[in-house]
Amino acid sequence: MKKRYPKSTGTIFKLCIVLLIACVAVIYGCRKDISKLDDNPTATITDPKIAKAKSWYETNYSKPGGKPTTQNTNAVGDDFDLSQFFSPNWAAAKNYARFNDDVIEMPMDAASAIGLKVGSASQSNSRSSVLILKRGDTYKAYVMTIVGYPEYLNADTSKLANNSYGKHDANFSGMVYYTTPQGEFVDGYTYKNGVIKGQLVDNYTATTTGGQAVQSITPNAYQAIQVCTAWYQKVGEVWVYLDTQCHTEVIEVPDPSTPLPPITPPSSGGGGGGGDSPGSPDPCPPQGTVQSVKDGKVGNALKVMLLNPGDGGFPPPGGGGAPCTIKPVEDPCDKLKKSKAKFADSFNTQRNAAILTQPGPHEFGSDLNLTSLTSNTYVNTPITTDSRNDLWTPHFTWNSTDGYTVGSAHKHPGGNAPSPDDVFLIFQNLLNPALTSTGASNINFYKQNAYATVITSTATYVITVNSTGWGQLGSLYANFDNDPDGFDNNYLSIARDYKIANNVDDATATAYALNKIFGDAINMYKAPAGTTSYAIAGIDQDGKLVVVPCP
Amino acid sequence: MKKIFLILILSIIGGIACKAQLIHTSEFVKLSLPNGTYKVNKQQINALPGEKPVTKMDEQIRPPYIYNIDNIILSFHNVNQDSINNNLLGNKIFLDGLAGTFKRHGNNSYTSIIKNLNSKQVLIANYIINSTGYYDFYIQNAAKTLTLAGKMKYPKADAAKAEALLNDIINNIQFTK
Repeated sequence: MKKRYPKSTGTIFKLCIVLLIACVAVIYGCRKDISKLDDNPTATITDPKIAKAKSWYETNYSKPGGKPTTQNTNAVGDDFDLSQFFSPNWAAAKNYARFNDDVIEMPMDAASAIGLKVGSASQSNSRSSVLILKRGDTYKAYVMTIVGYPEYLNADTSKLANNSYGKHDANFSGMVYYTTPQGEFVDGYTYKNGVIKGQLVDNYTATTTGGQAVQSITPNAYQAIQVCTAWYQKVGEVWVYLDTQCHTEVIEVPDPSTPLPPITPPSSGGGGGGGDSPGSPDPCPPQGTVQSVKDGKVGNALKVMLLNPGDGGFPPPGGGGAPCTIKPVEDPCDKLKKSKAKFADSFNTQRNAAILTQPGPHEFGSDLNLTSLTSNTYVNTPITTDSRNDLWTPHFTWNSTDGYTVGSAHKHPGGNAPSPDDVFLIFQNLLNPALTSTGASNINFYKQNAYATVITSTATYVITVNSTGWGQLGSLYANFDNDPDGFDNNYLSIARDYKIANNVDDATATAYALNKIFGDAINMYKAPAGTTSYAIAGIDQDGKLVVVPCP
Repeated sequence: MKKIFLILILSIIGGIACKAQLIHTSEFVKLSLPNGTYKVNKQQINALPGEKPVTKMDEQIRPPYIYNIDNIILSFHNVNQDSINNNLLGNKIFLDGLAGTFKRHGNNSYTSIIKNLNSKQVLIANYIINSTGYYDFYIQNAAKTLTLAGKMKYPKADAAKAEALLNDIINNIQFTK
């Protein structure tokens, strides 16, 4: 019987089959599941909480170029991303609960050592860990760096390992320093003998007063100095400079009348392990510039936490969930008490109810004009409409005949919270010649009393402007004026994304978006429809919209 | 013999032409993304022109899955099972209301539509702002119990490419529940 294929042809056939299988394998292998890009499978981690946190972390802090290499040096400036220079040691991760968080804490992988240089002290005196805090379904990741002062370390850097997020040495002296994984500063605390002595803050606006005066802010007094920190990466035995940031350290002064204690950065010494890379820039400007906290105002809503958490651990990053003394520039509850005399009086309440009962899908509204600047009585202005679902046009007046327009109330038939347009109306009125021509005292009166009320079928919202918020409001208005579509698209995107990500209704989503954009420039108050039980609607430390009643 | 060599050549060509193809998977959905797609991290997103600082680094609102497909930025949220986000008509009214400001500024590009495609209900909103196009889309399973929301940002000149990509996504996405 004749063979169908001669031997040589059969060999070629087999070879082709093998090649075909190989090609199919290559093609199939090229289909990558994005959830399986990791080269360290979670299968090696037995704790499901840690495995899930790892998955989340690597999804959010991926390294496009793979693991960091020693070539990635001197990445200075806005593009600096600390996460590209270290890898968490997941095998050493610990999981425990603290405050309201599920905590996962782990050291850095030994092959990717980073160090934090504070002042003139060596970066070898620091130890960084990755901290993942899970609250509810929300993860947050931080790099926690513990810096030991020489008097604590006594030339023994191994003591740094005695300290963790949940427990520090009773005699710890040094600093705990929090950043995001990318290196964005969050906050930090300085310690002496286990007691918090200062807090590191950002965006601090203090007034230099010749380096001497410290004014008291009730009940405590504070001294503020500049502290600069620099990140380094250890390459072999050499520390290579990466990036510098400067912050303000706020230190409580027990008695404002006593002379200020001298502030000196930690001196060098202790530890060891190589020096700075040759030619690296001096990361820190001269230290010890003394500034003062003026008139009891420390930046905008500075949180000063000089109380130990009480469980032997470090304060949480961002102060979340721990005892915290908040010293805002203007207490929104104080503002509410003052403003309610106007926006929640009987006339406003009745007018809001009358607007709400207007039939149909259109917006209705009314100007709220005081009869004089010395009374809380209002002109009986009409309720009007533009016969549109998305617009109501107010009419500003500032005279004794028509009244003094300090506010307006209008209905949102769709149920949304106040919009950017509603907030900008308050600012636009400030620029109205009818007001500006009457002088500074009238302008100040308007600033102190201006409000906008938005009525829906379920709630009444009132917006007021923080006394320190007019400048910020002006900047936002300039942005809006320059690119109104872009501004409103931002608002739309925030509201939409918040609604999708948090399963909230339209009113909550829009209230969030407004708060997100206008921040501390405004106060948003919310009351159930038909009531004057106003509470503060704002964004909490977890980034969610909350409604908090005032005491 | 010729057939064998033909198979061999085609296989080799296929292997050479092979490029990494990403498959977007999250709970309840699976979608093959076009060749050349790469995942974008937060830092890359923040560096994109036109990104507003207020949205930077905000994990409360940032979609967890963001891809770059030939300069089209595609993002997906996690699949929603709740009644609020599965109400496509409610979402349309919500978007239409917020986008009403564009029209007041003289921008009439905004359109939105709910339609049925391949046993899926979809809500698509499309608009142009400053030479950049946007798609906000919601893709719902046949049972109307799962909705995948996402958005697309593209150069206005690539409108046809973006539309084709969106159609491709709608046609090929698989709900796994």
